[in-house]
Amino acid sequence: MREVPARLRVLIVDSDNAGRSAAGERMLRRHLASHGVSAEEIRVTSAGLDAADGEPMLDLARAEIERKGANPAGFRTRSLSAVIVDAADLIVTGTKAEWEALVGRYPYVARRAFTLSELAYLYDGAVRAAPLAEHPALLSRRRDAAAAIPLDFELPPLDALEEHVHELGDRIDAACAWMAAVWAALLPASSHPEPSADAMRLDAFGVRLAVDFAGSGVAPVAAAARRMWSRCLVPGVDDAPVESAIEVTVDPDAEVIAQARSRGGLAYSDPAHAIHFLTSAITVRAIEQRVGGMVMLHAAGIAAPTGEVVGFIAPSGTGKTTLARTLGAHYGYVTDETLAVDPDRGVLPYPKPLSILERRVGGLKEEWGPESLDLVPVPGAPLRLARLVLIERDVYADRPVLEELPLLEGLAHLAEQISFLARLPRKLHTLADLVESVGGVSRLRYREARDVIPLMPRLFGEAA
Amino acid sequence: MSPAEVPEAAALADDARVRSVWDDAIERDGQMLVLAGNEVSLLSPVATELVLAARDGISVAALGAHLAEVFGAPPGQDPGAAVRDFLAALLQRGVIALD
Repeated sequence: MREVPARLRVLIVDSDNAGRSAAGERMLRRHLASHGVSAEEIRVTSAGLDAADGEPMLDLARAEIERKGANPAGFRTRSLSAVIVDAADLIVTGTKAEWEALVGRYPYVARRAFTLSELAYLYDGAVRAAPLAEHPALLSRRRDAAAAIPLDFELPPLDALEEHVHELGDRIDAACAWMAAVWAALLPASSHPEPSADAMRLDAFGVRLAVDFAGSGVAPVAAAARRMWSRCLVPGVDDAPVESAIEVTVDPDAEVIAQARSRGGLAYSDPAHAIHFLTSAITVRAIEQRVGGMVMLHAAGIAAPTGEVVGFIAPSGTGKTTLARTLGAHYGYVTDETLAVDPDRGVLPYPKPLSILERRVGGLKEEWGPESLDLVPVPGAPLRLARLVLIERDVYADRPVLEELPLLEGLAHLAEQISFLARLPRKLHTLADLVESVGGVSRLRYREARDVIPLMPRLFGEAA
Repeated sequence: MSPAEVPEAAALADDARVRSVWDDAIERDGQMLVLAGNEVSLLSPVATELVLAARDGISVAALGAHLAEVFGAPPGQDPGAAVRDFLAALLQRGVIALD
């Protein structure tokens, strides 16, 4: 069993708490339980904006919950109150109209409240490789940047009531299934890891992690993981204490998966999901081991042969990996996702597998190790942060444009891409010191990643 | 009143009291970068003046008067409506709470 307090408190809200929110509560609980996630780890409750207290749910909702294998027993409606809202980290509404009503009543929850359709879109196919506590803010920023997100599910007309309800039940259940899978992978491991002697031992920006493999279908996953993580593998006998341990099980037997999940492990019936979630789990567990000690940027890092590192900062899914892959063919590949910087500007490498956008396996991004992509290893020289660059793809940029940003503007962009900023010793001031030590933050607009290659000597050299 | 019982900013009464809250802030050239919870907000000069004036709690009416005194009345807009627009945005970002 995991030994941690609740990491995420989820509140599902609709108007009367008798239909969508009741179904969402029970379906999400079921999927979390199937991943071995307890209510102490992720707590799911529901309430209604205009609900009467103590009523049963609608028969239609009950039937849908049972059709999806979840348990409707013991449910009673609750009216939404300030206390209930304040106790939630993430609020999910059934519809756009309910979101608007919620935010009208409690304006300060706007950036941690989402419609279910919106949340399904924001999580679509991607695991936010960030600790769960940061997800509401990350998703909110992703929403700010997105052009058009479907706020309501498209459903058959209410005239066809049975079809409407079934479709709605399917959509709620599918969204809950994916969110539960994402969240389960990102929960912290047991506080007392005991990896086997055969565990894959990794160094992720100085954090020692061990990964054990189990199950009848895990062999290809274990082989692929060792290949993909080759640059992070700790060679030979390792005496360093393991700070976090992960067990990955791949097995077609549902009972084996259930047992593995009850032990706090990651368990899947297919290799693609195991590989996909393992990468995120490793990243998040390593980040959690260095909270408050290092500045951890959502950034790609590229190193010069002399050790100067340029950090390219951008939100997930906006070009970091493509840039890291392109530049890493010529310069040292430090990381494509989490750039860890110590208080003396030293950079600790995390040459993790890269998620390749062009291909998807089973709806998931395919991952490749830096060795397979023939990326340049990090140099032997000590790595030191030399420059911070915000990146922005611009299809109209005939040539790359580099501009310096005023300090606060640069910090504002940067602060959104930091893990556990609030836990840094001096919070914004720690970040400001780092930024000023590298001469500020620049913004680089470019069309294609290859256009940036000729700029690299300048980026390394100016700051070195 | 609990912070969670905040009505819509547009409905804030003149005598409603607001207070700015943050965990860390950096001021530079009249602007301010504020960390409140997990949210970081870059405040314009007007918003910066607003949150500084509301550090120890202030009524909506007094806040509107203060901003009008510092920056002049907003052209073509009622000062009360203007300050409520700012408050609505800052409430959503957790930088302002109701007393």
